[in-house]
Amino acid sequence: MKILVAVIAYNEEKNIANTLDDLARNNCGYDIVVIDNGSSDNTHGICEKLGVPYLRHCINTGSPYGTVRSYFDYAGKYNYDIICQFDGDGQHIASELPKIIDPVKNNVADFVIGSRFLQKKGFKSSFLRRIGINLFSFINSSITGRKISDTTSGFKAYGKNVIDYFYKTYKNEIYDINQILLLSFFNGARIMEVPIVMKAREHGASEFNFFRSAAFPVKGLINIMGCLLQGKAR
Amino acid sequence: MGMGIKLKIISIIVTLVFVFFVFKFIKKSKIRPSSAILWLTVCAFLLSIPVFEKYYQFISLHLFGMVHTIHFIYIGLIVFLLIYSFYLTIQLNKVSDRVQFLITHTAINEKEIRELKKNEN
Ligand SMILES: Nc1nc2c(ncn2[C@@H]2O[C@H](COP(=O)(O)OP(=O)(O)O)[C@@H](O)[C@H]2O)c(=O)[nH]1
Ligand SMILES: [Mg+2]
Repeated sequence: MKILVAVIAYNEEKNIANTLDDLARNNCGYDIVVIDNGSSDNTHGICEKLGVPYLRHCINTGSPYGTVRSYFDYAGKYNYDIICQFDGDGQHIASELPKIIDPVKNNVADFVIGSRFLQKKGFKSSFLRRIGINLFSFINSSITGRKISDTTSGFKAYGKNVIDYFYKTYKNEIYDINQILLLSFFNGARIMEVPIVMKAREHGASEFNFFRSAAFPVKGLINIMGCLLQGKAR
Repeated sequence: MGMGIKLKIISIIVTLVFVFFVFKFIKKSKIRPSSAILWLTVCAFLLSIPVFEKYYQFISLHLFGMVHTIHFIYIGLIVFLLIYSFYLTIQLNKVSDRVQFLITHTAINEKEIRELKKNEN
């Protein structure tokens, strides 16, 4: 079984070396590719120096979701069976990867979300963001009929049918996390959530400033509506 | 409630300036023929307002029951602008879809070329 870990990074020269080091030391048999989302710093230079394969966007797509298209297409082209998204900012922990990979490997799920909220340990995000996370978790749980507690988690594993769906069928822009979840669900993916631990960021800041946080729920709701209509039309 | 002669002259001059700019861009091939046709049609409409004022008054009063012709023209223009800006949003999203596709495509190709070159050396 071919497994790929896609490390997504935008201007993470301060964090990427630690992240890749962690992945190398805890590698349980997967390939790694860094998706450098048009960084203006030396993120790609560090990958080059460490000998880690990387895709380099010539333009920044403006948000982490812009990397999703690239890793699905890459995984599809090189015939990977499982792909995991892993943040390049050091918030994800490599030794937690088997928890999200195993359900896909054992063919009990096609879409595994690593959730911060199923156990007490680790970093939990700010209060305001948690309100948003809870709202969307509730909506997505209602739609999918599966308990989802951490929709916005970037720590995820996708199986072959999700990869193929985004590689071959769904060619439009991917711009939202609910979109990935619901389109996969409507395409028959079995959704599952497992408890994992995350860390707080060491260097740099998250993309979520005040305005983005305010726009996020509204955009998300519209997106869910669109996915529902698409799902119905099928 | 007709247009004064001053207003007529001003509106004709403004429209002609607009026509001039459209042609300037056509000359430099900076505007696609389809867009040029659209904007020249708009210019023709704007020019027709002072020239065929009587007809517009007739249409607005008898077809739409609007006493003030100017409102009729405003509403027409606003509806056109709304539809057109919506159309532009859709086009913009299409372009954005394609940009995303190209970014991914070039990134994967760039990686393959980079690795081929490395293997050559
Ligand atoms: N802000 C931002 N992050 C990006 C982008 N592309 C990839 N990323 C990566 O996406 C990951 C998550 O982003 P972050 O801002 O930390 O979001 P958070 O962890 O949900 O607060 C990080 O590893 C970023 O390096 C981008 O265009 N903007
Ligand atoms: Mg982060």
